[in-house]
Amino acid sequence: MNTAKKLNFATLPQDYSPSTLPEILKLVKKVKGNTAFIYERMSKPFFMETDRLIIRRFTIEDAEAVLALSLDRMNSSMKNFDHQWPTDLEGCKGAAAYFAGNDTSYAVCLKPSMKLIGYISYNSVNDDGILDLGHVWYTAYQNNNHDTEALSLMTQYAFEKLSVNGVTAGNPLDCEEQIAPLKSIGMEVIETREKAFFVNDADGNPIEFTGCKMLITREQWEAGNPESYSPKNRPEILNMMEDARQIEKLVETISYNGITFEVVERPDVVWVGCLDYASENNTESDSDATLNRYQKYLDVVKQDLINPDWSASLWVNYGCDDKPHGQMFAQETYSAKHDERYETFTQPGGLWIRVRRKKETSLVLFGNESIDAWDYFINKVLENAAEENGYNVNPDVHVRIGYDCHAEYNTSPHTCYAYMSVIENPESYSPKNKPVILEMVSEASVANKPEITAAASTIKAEERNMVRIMELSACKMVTSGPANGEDAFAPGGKLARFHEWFTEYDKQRTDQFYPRNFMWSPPGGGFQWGFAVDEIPADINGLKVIDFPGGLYAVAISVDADGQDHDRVYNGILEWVNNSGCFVLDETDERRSLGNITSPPFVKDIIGYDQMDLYFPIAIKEEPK
Amino acid sequence: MINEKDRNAVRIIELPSCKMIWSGVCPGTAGTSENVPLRKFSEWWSAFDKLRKDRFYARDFMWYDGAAGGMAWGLAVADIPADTGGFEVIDFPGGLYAVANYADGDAEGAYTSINKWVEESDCFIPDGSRNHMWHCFGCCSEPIPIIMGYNQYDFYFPILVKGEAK
Repeated sequence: MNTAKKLNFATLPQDYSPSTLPEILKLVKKVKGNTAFIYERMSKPFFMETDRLIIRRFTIEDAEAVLALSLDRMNSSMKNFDHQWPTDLEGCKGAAAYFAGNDTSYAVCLKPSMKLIGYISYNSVNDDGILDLGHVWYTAYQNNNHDTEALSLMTQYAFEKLSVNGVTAGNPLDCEEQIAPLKSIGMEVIETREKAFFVNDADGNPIEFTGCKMLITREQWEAGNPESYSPKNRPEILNMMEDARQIEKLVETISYNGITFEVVERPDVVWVGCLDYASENNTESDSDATLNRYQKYLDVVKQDLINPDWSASLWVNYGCDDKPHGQMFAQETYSAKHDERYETFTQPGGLWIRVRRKKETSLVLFGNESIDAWDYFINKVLENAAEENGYNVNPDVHVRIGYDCHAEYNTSPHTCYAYMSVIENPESYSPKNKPVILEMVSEASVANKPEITAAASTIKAEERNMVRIMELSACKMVTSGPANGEDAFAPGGKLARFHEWFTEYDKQRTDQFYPRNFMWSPPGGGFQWGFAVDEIPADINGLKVIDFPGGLYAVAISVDADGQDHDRVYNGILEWVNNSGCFVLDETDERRSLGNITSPPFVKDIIGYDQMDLYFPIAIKEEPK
Repeated sequence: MINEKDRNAVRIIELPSCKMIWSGVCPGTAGTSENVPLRKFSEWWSAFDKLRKDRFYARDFMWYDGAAGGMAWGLAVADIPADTGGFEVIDFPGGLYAVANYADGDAEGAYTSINKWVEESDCFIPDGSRNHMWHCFGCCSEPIPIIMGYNQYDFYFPILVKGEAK
């Protein structure tokens, strides 16, 4: 089934991140037909709009709507077959705050009332690039219509913009209304699982059901949605090539002065039309005469045109002192044979940078509203955009192209582009793609401090290695719950049961890098043990799941079970943080100091002790005002 | 046995054997800012790593391959992804490492102190068959290096338990 939409994109400025509902709803516009408009922020969808739906990030103002959705869900067929949501306002305030605090939870709202009718989550992406999609839907709109539209759009975005290889979803096999929209977008059941459960009944027995895993692969999606587009073929290409045969491939999208440019790979292309060269080197031809000739021959058929609705001006040999300049008015063709009144010119293949010529773009790039292609070349905007993003003008290809959709001449403004041949600059580096780690190791980045509100560091050189600053990601944790008293570690007690569960569960972890269990002292005293998980396991043996807030921690190694050493290290961390100048202690009821055994168990037999990293929660100290 | 004063000087960490997608050996000793192949690998893995939901701890390791005479960078993965960006996949042997952290430019200091610790431990010996490795750690979304004024690294020194056959 074809459910894909034609996507149009805009990027929210980095410094604009509306977090209140009225602000977000200012983004609403009219979207018609089979189109979706998407505002992105930090390469994630922030706000999506179709003709009847809004899919947006949550805000804390959504608490009551989340409560309504949750209460409706408690009367739905999904009641006992999924993670339980809070059913009181206080709990839903927390849930809304959690949803609002991440970029994976999305509220689906119905226009024009903006009523919340569904929740969609990008749960996770595994190492194979398979994205796990979750959804919770208001029963009144669980109609294989609104839900299908929203899930399809999120799936389309995942394929086209997040470049995933597949989208999967896990749901109860027998909840038809839950899996119907997933089937509609092309997902197939690839696996079933008996005796799945999330909830226990009043007697503490698990309420079991048959779960199913559904999947749609990239190939299946593309086969079912032929007019959908691969990730490389971004929307700008669509505007241009909507009805055309594709001959070029998008390599990357880059930004220069806030304007989007695209680097595309073009094959050798034959252009057919009228081409005249100047009579001497480094001089220009009579372009008016060439254009007159081209227009005179408009009725002369050009064979096998690639894009019949598009035509171009080509500037040839400009920038060469040793060749006569030429100008051509032409169209792209698959054929080498044409009427003898035409000339042909083969434009070399390779990388080309292009920008869409628009008044707004011209104003930004060279200060006037001209969309004349030559103005884009003479003002060197393509050269500059290329060079700032890791490309150079191709020294071997002296061709500039102004490419216009003449079929739109009657519907001003028509779509038009400027093209220039470029090559990768191996000695340069694309700021857009500069990885975070390089920014971190760049001495320059340390020297040229950006505007941050952190107070100045007073960490002495000789104390730099005493404490590590680490960030733990917010995640779900399966936990023992608080265990008080001397029996906390007794056989059969909470901690023992938890230990038994997580040591078994941990064996299933495909990624065995670093231990994932942390112990802390909860606000009421005693001990609590937690195991960080990407996804909540189906079988947690009756243990609880909590939201681990993550955040920054000051960390140092200690000797496990050595109280004296523990106190010394702990106090050392506190002192280091207090003297750092740039961090403050941030231990709260939610963010506790953590302990994490880092040495493998057999090492204890060798060195006589386990090693434990102590994590102390910290925050960045703000600069005094 | 480990002297009491040295117990917290070095961490003993076991890395699992796994698949690693790597840059290949990039000739020379230049770091990422000057080494184009490393930069290209960095570009790929940084983008790939963003897909990882589990953001706990860094998975990239850099090393100097003395035999091949160049730097290399690898990203440990639990499963080989369908798209490796054109980079090769190798078997990372894993094993036991003595680890210490260091700040910018003091990898040699970390190496020296770990080497001394291992020698004096009387229970571990260096494993010359595997490479020393290092990586920037922290996985911080905040500009921590800028705030602190330095970057943090962990140095991984391959070790064996003394007296145990490899």
